Amino acid sequence: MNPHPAFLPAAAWLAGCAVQALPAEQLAASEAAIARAERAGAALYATTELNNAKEKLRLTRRWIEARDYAPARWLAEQAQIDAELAEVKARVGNSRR
Amino acid sequence: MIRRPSLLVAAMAITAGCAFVPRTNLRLEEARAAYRQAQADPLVAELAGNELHAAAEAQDRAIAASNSLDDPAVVDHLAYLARQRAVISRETARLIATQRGLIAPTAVARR
Repeated sequence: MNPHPAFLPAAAWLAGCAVQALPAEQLAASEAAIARAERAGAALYATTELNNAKEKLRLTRRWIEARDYAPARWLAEQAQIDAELAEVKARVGNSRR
Repeated sequence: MIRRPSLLVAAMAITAGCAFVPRTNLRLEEARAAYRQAQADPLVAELAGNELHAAAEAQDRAIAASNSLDDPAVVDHLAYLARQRAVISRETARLIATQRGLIAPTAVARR
């Protein structure tokens, strides 16, 4: 998976700095999405999706600690979308009361 | 998303002497199925058009990655996002329909 060291500068340039940088904005977006889902009642109505989101956020932070930012970004993106799904399902659950 | 050519797969395709055909990707099939379900639901087009469009775009990104010599992990990831987008569009339609009283607020078995 890792490119040959000689290609790293070119790869990084081609990749654009976004992939190599710590995905701080994405991390914040994922955290915010999880918070919204929790406020909407996802713990009750979308437990699985919310737990998935939280677990992926936990893994995101581990990848960030390991300074491997590509998988960190992927997991953060998945955490965010899981949280968005959890939020919608929570609202559905609440509207059905 | 960054392209990371899967050199091993490319080498195998070349040595096999046949055109490269993307392997069946389970996640991608799940995404396709989820999107088809969303498309087939008239309530989704009517009440969650934006979400359905977002799902279509996510679907296109996943398929494009699959059709190119992209890292299978990237394809899996994009396919997962696409699948979730499709499910979100259905749930959004369900939410709006419930709020507007278009469907009865009874518990419905999920998937």
